[in-house]
Amino acid sequence: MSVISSYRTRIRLSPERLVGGEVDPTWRLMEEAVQAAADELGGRVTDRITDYYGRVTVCDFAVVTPEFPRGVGVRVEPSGEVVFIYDHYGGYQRVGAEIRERIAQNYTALAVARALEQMNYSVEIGEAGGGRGEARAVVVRGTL
Amino acid sequence: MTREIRVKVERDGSVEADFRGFVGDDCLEEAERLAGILARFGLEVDPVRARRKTPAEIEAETGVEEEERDRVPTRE
Repeated sequence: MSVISSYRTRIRLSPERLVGGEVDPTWRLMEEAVQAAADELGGRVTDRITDYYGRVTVCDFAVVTPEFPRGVGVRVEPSGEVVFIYDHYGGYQRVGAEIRERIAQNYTALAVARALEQMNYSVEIGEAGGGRGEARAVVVRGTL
Repeated sequence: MTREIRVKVERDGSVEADFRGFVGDDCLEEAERLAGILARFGLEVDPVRARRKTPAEIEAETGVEEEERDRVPTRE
């Protein structure tokens, strides 16, 4: 039997960044996902965001882009839950959401790719959609 | 026979996994295994729905006519 299954996903990192003196794999994945989002959007990775008033908030990770210089921060709660923080006041709702979604989408795709590799699949990552008015999807293909 | 898992990650974080070339319940076992490893990578997945492929789709992927196998008589 072959099936097509749909899933909802939730990202939950290890509560601690360092485990046994090494960076936990979930934190490494988030670092990669954040870097990829920054590269895709012509931005950079930092550890702080600013709000409308210029106040600074330090985060575990943050992406700052030319379109949204205040940035989108990623904060990992003590439970491991991931919270995105940004101030979208003044018309930045769409760009803020785009950065947030890119980070989460990249994390999910990278996690799937790593998992398939661990299952000995050969993995390729590509994209689907992303045309005019169409949301970009990431496609991870594992063959065995 | 080549087995393939094609996972489409949507912008909202939802995923659709297409299991190709699996016979019998193998794909369900592989899906469970994948979900277990994903959890270790910090990704919790909750199944929303699963659609069994049509016989034509399966035949196109594997060359096996799954409906024919289902028709093998079983002892009462």
